[in-house]
Amino acid sequence: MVALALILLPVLFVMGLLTTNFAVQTKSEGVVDAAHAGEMVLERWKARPFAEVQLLLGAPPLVTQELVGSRLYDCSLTVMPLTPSGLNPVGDVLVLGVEVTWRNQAGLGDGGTRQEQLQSTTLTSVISPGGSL
Amino acid sequence: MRSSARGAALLSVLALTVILLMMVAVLVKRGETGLYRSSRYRDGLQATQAARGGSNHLIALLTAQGNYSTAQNVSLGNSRYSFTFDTTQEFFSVNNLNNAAPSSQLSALGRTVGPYSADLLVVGQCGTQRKVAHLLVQRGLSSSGSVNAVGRVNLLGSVEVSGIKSVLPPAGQADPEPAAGGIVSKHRSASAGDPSIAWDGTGTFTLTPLSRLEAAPILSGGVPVSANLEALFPDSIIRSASADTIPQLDVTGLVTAGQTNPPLPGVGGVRSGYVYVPTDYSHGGDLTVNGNLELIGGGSLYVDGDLEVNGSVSGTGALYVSGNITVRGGDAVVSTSEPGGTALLAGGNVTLEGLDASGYLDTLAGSYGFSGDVTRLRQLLGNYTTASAPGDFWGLAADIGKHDGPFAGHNSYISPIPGPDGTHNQGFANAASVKVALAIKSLHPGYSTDLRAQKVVRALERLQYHFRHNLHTVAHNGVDFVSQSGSTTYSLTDDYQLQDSSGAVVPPSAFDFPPNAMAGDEWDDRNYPEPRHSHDHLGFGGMPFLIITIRSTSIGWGSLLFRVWSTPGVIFR
Repeated sequence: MVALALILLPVLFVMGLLTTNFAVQTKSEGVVDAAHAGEMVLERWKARPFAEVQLLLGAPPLVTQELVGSRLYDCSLTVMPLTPSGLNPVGDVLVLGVEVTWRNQAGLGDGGTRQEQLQSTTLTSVISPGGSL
Repeated sequence: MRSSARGAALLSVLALTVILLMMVAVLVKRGETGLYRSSRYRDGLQATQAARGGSNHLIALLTAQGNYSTAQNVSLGNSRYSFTFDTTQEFFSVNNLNNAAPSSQLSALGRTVGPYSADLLVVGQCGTQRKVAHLLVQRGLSSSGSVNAVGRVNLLGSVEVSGIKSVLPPAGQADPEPAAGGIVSKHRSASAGDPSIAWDGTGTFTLTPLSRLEAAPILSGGVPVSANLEALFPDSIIRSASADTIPQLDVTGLVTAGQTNPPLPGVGGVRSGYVYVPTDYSHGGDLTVNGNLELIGGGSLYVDGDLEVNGSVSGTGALYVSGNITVRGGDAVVSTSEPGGTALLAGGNVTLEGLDASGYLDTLAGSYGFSGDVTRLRQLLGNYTTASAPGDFWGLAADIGKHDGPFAGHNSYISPIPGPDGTHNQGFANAASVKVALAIKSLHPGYSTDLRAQKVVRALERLQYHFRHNLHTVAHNGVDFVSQSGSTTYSLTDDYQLQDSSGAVVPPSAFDFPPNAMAGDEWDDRNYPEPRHSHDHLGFGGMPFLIITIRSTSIGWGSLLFRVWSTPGVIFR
C-alpha cells in the first residue's frame, strides 16, 4: 500500500501540474486572440463613415461575436464622447471601447468536473470627424 | 533480499519523481513565459490603438485651432496617450500649419517642417508597452483615391483611372508624374448584382499600374466590383478598404458659412463664357455655367443649390456645393491635392460626363469649309516638332499663337485663359490656332448647343495659350478685364475681342502704342514651371508637350456618378 501510495502521489501531482500548465497555455492563446478580436471590431468601425459611428453614441453596447482561431469571442462596443469636455469642446471626439469576453478552461474542479473561468480584456481608441487612424 | 529490493524500488520512484518534477517545472515556466509574452503583445496592441486614437484627437484639435500647441496626457482606462510641443521632451511635435515658410524649429527627428505643415508625434502607452505614432499633416485637401464615394460608383462608357502627383509635369517631362490613385467606394455590397464599383462594360477601361479599385468589406453574398472588372484587374482590387477612411464633411454647413463671401459677379443663375473665381465668392440658388469655370489662385465658390457646368472646371481652388455638381462636356481636372488642382465637394451627387471630341475637328472643317485652316495649323505644329534652331521655334510659336503673317488689319484676340500671373495675353485673329477656333464659332450654326464643338474650341484656346506671347496683357478682377493701369474696364466679346463700357470694340492699335490700353512691357515668366511659359521662354528643343490632334479629355470619364468626400487638412504617410 505504501509503495502504491508513493507511486500514485507523484503521478497525481504531475497530472495536476500538467493540467495547470495546459490552462496557462490556453489562457495565453486566449489573451492574444481576444486582443485580435477586439482590434477587428475597432478597425471595422473606424473604417465606417463617421456619421455611422456617431449613431452608436449613448446607445446600449453593440454586442457581436468574433471567431478567432477556433474560439468565439463576445465583443461589446461602446461609443462615448471623450471627457473631460475641455479636451473635446465640440463633443465630436469619440472614444471607442471594445470589451472582449471569453470563457477559459481553468482546470479540474471537485469531482473531476471541468471548470471554466470568464476572462475579459478591453481595447480603446479615439476617432474624430477628420481622423480615424 | 526483500529489504534491498524495497530500497531499490523507493529510489527508483524518487528518481522518477525528480525527473518528472523537473519536466513539469520547465513546462510551467514555459507557460508563464507564454502568458507574459501574450500579455505584452496585448498591451502593445492597446498602446498602438491609444497612439492612433491620440493622433485622431490631435487632428481634431488642429482642425478646430490651426495654431494649437497645448500638451495633453489622456487616460483611456488601462491605456493612455500623450503629445507635447515642448522641444525639451523626447517626443515633441512641431506645428507650422499657419506659416507660409518652413519652420525654424526642426522636428524631433531633425527634419525641416515645411510651410503649412505639422510634424506630430503621439505616444501611446499600456503597461510596459509604448508605441509612437508619427504623422505629417498639411493644410488643404488631400485624398488617397482619385475618387472617394460614400455610395456606389457606377462607371459608364470608356474610363481611365489614373493618379498624378500634380497636373504640372516635372521639368523636362511631357506627362505628369504618376502616383497611386484609384476609386474608393464605401458601399457595402450585399449581392452580386449590387457591386460597390460597377462598370457597364462599354468602351475600354484603363487602370494605371499604381491605381486600385477599393471597396468596403462586403456583406454576405456581396461582391466588391462587377465581374468584368474582377476579370480585367484581379490583382488591383482591394476588397476591404478599411485603410482608407472617408471622414464626414459637413458640406452644407461649409456652404452656409461660405454665403458670407461676396456674391459671384454677374446676374442670374445662368452664366456664359468664362466664369472666373479669383477669390472666394458665394451664390445662392442653382447655378449653370455654359462655358468654363476657372478657379484662380485658390479661390473658392460656395453654391447653395445645384451647380451645372457645361464646359470645364480648371485652375486651383475648390467648389463647395450644397446640392449636386454636374460637369458636362469639358475636361474636369479634379485633384484634391496641391499644386494646381480643383476640389469638388458636394452635399449631393457629383456627375462628371466626359466627351470624346477626337476627330470631330475634321468633321467640322469638312462640313463648314475651313479644312485649309486646319491643314495649316497641323503643318505648323508638325514643323515645330522637327525644328532645331531657336529662331524657328520662336517664329513657329508666333504663327500658331500670335499672328500667322502680318497682324496689321486683323482683329485682336484676348486669350480667355489666364496666365500664371492672372493676366490674359493678346494675339491676333489670324494666328493659326485662333483662326480655326473663330471659324468653328462663326460658321457652325449649331455651335451654341453643340458640346463637342465647344470642346474642340476649348482645346484650340489651350493650344493658343501655350504658344502665346507675353506682351500686352489685361488682368481680370473677377468682374471685368482691366487695363494694366487699372483705370479702364472692358468685357470680352464672343470672338475674343475687348469692348469698352459703351460697347465699342477696342482696336488692335490700342495694344501697340503707349499710352494706349494694354501697352505694357513684356513680362518674364521664366520663374514659373515650364509648361506655363510663354513661347518667349519655352525650352527650345524640349517643348513640354505638343498637341497635334485634339485629344479627348485627359481623364476620360465616360460617365461617372459618385459622391465626393475628401479628408480635410491631412495627409497621412
